[in-house]
Amino acid sequence: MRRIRLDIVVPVVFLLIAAFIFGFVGRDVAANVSDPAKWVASLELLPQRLEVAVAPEPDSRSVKTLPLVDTYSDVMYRLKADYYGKTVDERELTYSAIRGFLLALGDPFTRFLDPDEFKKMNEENKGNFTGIGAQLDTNKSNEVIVKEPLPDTPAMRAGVKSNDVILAVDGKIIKDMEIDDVVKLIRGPEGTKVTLTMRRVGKPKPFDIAITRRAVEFQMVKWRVVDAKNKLGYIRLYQFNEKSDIQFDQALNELDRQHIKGLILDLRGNPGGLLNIAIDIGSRFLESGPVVIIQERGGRRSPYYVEEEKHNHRRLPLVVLVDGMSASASEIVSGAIKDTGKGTLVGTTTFGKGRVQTIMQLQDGSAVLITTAKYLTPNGTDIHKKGIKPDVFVEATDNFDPNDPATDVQLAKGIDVLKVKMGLLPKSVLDKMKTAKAPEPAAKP
Amino acid sequence: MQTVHKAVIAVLIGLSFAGGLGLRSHTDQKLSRQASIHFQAEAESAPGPRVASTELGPGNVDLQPVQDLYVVLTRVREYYVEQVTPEIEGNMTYDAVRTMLASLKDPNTRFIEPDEMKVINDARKGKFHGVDAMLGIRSATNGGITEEQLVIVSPVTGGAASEAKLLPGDVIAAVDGKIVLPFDPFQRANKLIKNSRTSGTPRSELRKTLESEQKRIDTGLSIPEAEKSLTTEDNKTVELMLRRKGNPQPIKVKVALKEVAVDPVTSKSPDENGDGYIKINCLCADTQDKVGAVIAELKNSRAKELTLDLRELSGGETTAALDVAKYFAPGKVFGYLAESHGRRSTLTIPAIDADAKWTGPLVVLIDGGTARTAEVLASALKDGAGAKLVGDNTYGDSACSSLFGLGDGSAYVMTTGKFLTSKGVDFTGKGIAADAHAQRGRSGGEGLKEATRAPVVGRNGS
Repeated sequence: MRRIRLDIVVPVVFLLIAAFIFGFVGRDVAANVSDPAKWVASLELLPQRLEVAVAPEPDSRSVKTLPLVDTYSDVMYRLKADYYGKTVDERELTYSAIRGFLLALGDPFTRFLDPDEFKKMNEENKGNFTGIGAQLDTNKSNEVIVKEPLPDTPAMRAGVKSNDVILAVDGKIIKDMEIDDVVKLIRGPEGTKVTLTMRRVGKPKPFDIAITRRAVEFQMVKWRVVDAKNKLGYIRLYQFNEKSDIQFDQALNELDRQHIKGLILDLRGNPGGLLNIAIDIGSRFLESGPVVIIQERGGRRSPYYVEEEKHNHRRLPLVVLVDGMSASASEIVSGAIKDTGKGTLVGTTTFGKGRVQTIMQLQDGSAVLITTAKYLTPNGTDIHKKGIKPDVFVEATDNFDPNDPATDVQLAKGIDVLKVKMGLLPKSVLDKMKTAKAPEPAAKP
Repeated sequence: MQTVHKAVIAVLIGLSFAGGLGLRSHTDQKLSRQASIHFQAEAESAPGPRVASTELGPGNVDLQPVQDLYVVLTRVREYYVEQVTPEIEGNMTYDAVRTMLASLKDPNTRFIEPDEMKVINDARKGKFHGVDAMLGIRSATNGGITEEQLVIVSPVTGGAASEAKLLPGDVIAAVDGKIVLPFDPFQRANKLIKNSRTSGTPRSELRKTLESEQKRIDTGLSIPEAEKSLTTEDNKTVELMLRRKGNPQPIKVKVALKEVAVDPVTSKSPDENGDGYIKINCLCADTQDKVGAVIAELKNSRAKELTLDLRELSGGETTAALDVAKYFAPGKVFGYLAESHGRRSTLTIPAIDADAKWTGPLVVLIDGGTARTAEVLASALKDGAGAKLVGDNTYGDSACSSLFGLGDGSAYVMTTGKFLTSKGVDFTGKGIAADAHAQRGRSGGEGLKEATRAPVVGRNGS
């Protein structure tokens, strides 16, 4: 074989490599030459881009609005390529971009929920979660304590007591952790075990309790007889979720058994919940006709009528307690009761949320709530940002403590109004109350 | 060489070219196919969004985020209770970019609206508006609450701030009685609510405090709002409440906002000792020519020594700084720029005719208002031209940010790197040390622990 001539082979190999590379990137060069805008773009990647990248002065010719997705993609690309600092998390940035453009609608109820927030909302709507069923709180030394083990829950059965201090969860010391984070540690899949390290007054040493997680229902309803002599019943509804109607029915059954003659429905502080549950609850108090009218974009109206199968209890004189935190589903129910005259509203003007949101879940477990409709009360009133004025206006006093009925002037007034309705007090008492003028509702956020 | 050989080589070159071309087409197709499959599910009719991440290589493609964004947008357009007008769509784009960039919590990375862009473009030409000072943002932690503060970095010579005797480091606490709020004004309220759980604050008292907090937020100005009101083209008089180091009480100052066109350079002819003086007022496009002219003059009048004043110069475009440096240290290293993905580039000072160069002794004046590119410049002159740095340590902000237009007059600015001195030193938070300290009784150059942002004006390329 002949001797290989390096002086020829080396340049040839070099040429081959050069040709290969030129083939590979040639299209970019060609594209850039033909498109001056791209030239500038690629120049920006050189150190001198500090100079080139300066934005042009506002051009009055281009008044067209920027397309959202393209602009987002441009910025995202630039961040990934050139941002100097912490690593760019595309997902987090996209969440922020979604939050941002939803903000521009100016509607606080159209919003983005990250996977954690959405999971929490789902549990609230379902009315149950898998955990141990202990309500947590913090004490004055900022320790996490058990406020109350809920009845018939794993926590109760395992002997957890009120005021037990939680020191660790599964061996992880929880000092200085937020309650929400402690809750996250305690909750988990059904059937799995969680070990709490606790301290209890009267016990010399901290001790461990292993508890098996089970499905626990939220208590959505609390009821009692507020006036045994006159047989007045009281039901407080905390939220409208999938457990609310069943629990509400149970409470009414219990009160029926005590032969109550008048009812106070407490919707104060109730932020709302699911639309179909509002119709279930509202149906219990109305005779017929719509509970609420949903109006979509373009004005199409769909009335949601009373469900007569919910008429399984005696009709009783009714007072509804409302306040500024009674919102959404609470306003559907109280608005329907007010419009149809089936009860008397006592308290302060309600929140004023007359919009319905549709939940849209994204693939990674996050979700978006989009306001898709308005709702109107049975006689066609849009209460959005206005709220519902009570028939009898009475404000809570500063010393109001929800756990101490003696401080609850709204409830006291509600009882008076109910007594008037039942003929136990002279009507003049009520007339005097009605003339008490309600102040104009403050602007709502 | 034989003809056969030549032919073989030619064919090989051709094949090699084709091979490269083919491989490229193949990879490109693979990428675009991936993109289209993921999108078909949701985006049939509308023009498909461009996917930023595909260009970063197949191993790195996460199409989910952009797809989520697109789906949400489509749903909002279709089902939101009100018609989404083109005006709202425009705001949606702005707010998406604004919020996205703000989530990086980097004061140098943010969205810029068209009217603010005008102020920035004017500053590049040496024309300043409003308070006529470089503003910065500083983080300070107080009682467990981290607050961003709006500070004066350097007043522009002859401008409103300079006439009202504002000093570098002054914190702007209020504008016309409106409190300047930190980025997250709800921090304080949240802390209050959290504390009330444990401290047993009565509800009435908590409510009262929260109401006053709400009032503070409602009537206050966010930092961007405050900045906007201080860089306005509206020449009114504002009353600033300032917190100044060494003064326990806040200071109230009336400032007559005005527009000022800054001469990029002011100079003095050589004094009796033969000392010349050049003060750089802005690192603008025509700064270098003015510096060149003055140096030629000084050389003609046989000046012996030159004092270059970089005090209260809060940076400017890098090229402008390089072009000033070339009169003193041509061909030397100006500094380095550390960039994303581990890239690092060297900034080299351009060459210049030997007779245009200043060859005599050089003194450079610096202070706490000397920031960003001006700091690198000072350091480059010390390392490359043997300059003596006199005054106070510099501000200590090494961030390099770049401005990118969005095509409708709006833009965004983004941190793209960090300056290092020509010796590779990172001066973040420390500043460049003076060789000889000469105080003018002005403070403001205290070391900055957190991110600072030089202001609206002249951000670009600094």
